Amino acid sequence: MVGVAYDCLANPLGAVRSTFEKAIASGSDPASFDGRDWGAVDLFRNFLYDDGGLSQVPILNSASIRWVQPNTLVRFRGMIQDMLGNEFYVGAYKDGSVWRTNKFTDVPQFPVDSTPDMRLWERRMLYCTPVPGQNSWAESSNAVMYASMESGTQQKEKRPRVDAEATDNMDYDVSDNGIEGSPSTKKLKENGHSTQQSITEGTSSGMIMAPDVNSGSLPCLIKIYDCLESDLKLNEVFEFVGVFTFDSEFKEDKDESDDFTNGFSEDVLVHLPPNKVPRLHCFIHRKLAVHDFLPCSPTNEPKPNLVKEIREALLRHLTAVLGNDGIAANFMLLHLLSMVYSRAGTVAVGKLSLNLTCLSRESAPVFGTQLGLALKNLLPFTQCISLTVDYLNTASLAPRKDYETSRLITGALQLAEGSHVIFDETRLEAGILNSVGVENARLLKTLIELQKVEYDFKFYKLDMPADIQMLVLSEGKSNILPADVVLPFHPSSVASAEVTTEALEAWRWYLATLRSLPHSIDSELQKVIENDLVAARQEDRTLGTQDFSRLLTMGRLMSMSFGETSLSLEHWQMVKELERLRRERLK
Amino acid sequence: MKDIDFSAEKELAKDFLSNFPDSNGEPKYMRILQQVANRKFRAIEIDIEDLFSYAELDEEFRNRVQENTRRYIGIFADAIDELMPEPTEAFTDDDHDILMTQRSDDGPENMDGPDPHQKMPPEIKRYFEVYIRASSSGKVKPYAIREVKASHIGQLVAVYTCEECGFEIYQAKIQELSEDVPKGHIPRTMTVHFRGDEEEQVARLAEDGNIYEKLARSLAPEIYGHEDIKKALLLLLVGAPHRKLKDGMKVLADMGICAIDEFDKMDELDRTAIHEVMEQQTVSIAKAGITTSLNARTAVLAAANPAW
Repeated sequence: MVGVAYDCLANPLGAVRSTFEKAIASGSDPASFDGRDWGAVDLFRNFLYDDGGLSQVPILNSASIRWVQPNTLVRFRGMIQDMLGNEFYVGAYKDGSVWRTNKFTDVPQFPVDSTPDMRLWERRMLYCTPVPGQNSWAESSNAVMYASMESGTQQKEKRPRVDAEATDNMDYDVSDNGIEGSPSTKKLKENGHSTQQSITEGTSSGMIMAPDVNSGSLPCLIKIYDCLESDLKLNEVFEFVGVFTFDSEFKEDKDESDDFTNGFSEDVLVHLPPNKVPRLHCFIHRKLAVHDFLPCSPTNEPKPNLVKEIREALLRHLTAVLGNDGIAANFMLLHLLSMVYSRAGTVAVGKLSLNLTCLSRESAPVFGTQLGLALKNLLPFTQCISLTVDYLNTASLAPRKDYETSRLITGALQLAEGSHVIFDETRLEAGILNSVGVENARLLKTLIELQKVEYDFKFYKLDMPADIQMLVLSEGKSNILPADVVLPFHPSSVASAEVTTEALEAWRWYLATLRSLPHSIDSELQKVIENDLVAARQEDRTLGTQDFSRLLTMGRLMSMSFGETSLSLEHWQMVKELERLRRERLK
Repeated sequence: MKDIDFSAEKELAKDFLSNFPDSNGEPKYMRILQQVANRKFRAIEIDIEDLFSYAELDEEFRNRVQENTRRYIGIFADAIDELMPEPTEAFTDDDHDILMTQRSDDGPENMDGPDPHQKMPPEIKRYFEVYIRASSSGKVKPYAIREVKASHIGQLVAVYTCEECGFEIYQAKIQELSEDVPKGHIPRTMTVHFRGDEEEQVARLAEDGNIYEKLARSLAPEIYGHEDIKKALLLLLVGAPHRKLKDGMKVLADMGICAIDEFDKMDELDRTAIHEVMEQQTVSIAKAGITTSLNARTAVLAAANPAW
């Protein structure tokens, strides 16, 4: 491999070995590579980001796993759902007189004898799942990859969109599986292009699932090398690029190993065998935010005039969806831009949960559904939870650790930051809550008030911070979920919301990007706000710090909604007016 | 991993064992060996503190022992084999001895040589076990679970231990303390394996008829007497079947203890509420149109002065 360009895509391990050999040849001591890169990762970084190779790397998901070759370079986008601890592996060892490395692989290429010339290194194991509630438009497509595969006869398939929701007609969306299952994967099987299928034919998507994952979504066991622990936190969303391994031949009772690969990983991997859960040996990882899930970005910088137009169009759209209730639409807009951007003690600053009341059993299905669909099209991660007594009494909301399998069993509230959840209380009837129900109600209340979820680790509970946009639909004011803004909902008509693809793309960009704008209030305006708040309290003694905090947050969000970074007097007036109208309705 | 010169290390070990003085100036470990020879006990515990304070041993040796504990246990065991004195008291053959005699008798005819046991690995021949005891004085800092790394394999590691290991298990899982878990991470666990004599110790504890008394006395040792009260408290702590220690893990955190003083001064209504908790382990609540019955797996400890 002298002087030849490394084939990073098809033979990443070759590149790893070559760079290793080079490093050894230039006199480096293998022991010094513990926890460090000898140049392999730099190579990949150049290839991916400097030479634009990233788009050529196939995305690993339940569709592509059928044709992606093991030991090639892939990328996986997902949420860290569980941390499986560290694994010891033989990092470097001597094969006769030659030093070899096992980094970035599970199975050594050459036999490893137990010699004193063996270096044990560590790698971290993270169990990642696709982001809960991810909508199909936010999934990256492998179309380009698929089209360029040596399939010969097959051309890109234009899969007709049957679902009513999105008018987004992204073609060739091979990776789209949503919740309906995958008609596209069936097509892939029929095409059967690759002669070296490493995945056994007839493998239904159910086989490669870990037990707690919805069918159609592929989890992945990520192995992280040389990484600071603080970099990767639970529930964060990352893109991992690395070597894909998947052993469909794996026999579960075969104990073929040297102690160093199995002995210290305890029971955990027994439940995640390599023929069911793919592994990804990570070279490079990158934290993803909501805006990384936009398929394309029309502009990079929010220019004020452009933003204003988009805002107006979005507001019109929301008004239509909300039965012509303009005040509700305005609050909805602020709500959709909200994000926890700071924590002061226990207070999560920046959140703005919304409770729309006066929804009856009749009106809820109409507007609830419409709203749900609208949000699915606008935000990358959405969920809808219908709260009933039954649900409260049986649901597993908070994750808890199972000590038999050494796994963190997920719960409905284990969500990525930036997720949106609609809590529909309109079907909540009178009933008795058992201890699970009471506990769940408490968890929900804590989530909406403090943006944190208690995870159960048996001997103690650990608070995990959350950043979830919460919208509550109820008849009367919700007792279970006390939202920041309570607004009686007054629709006057039912309109169908027709949208164009361009508009949707613009709104998605708008909502994803503007929320991270910085914000400040100059001292002059601070004075004005102070006076206003004092006056408001004099009129109404019930107003307290929570109300003031909410108003400041609304000011920030209003300002951001216009693409501005500093609160203007005009926007502060708008906030005050909005609040006044809301309070009018409450009377 | 540096190569160890086994015979040199063994000599150092022998020197230490023969000469390390106890507080009276007598060789501490030779006394222990004599006891072992007389079958008084089987475990030989070498205190790492002693290695630290023995002048003839340099720091390097101590570090090597800490870094490669398993190997050095073997080295010390070999040294002990050579130093083991003859028994000075009569004792009955225990199972181990009988087995060893049988094995040598059954050996193949064509095996000659001075040691009929020579084909057996030394571990089987031995009737003692060597342990190296980690420092308890704080000279060796215990590692938190998270700090234990690959480089520590084979090294002597003192880890925060769970306070109560249950009976009938030889393996326990320990979990990081909540304050040690970094933000955004989940607690790490580690499995602790008990070897050899430790298993027996744990089993013996379980069978000990006096365990009730012993445990009761160990509760609040600074308070003298009140044995009955202590026993009651103990029962409270261990409590109902579902609280029994499972897999060696602490269940204490699961339930609360409600301590009430001047119970007789409580009004009737409150007291009956407590009765429900004590009898049925539930409590009924009615509020804002919602009635519910909650689990209240609380141990209630009520104190009152006697009526007469």
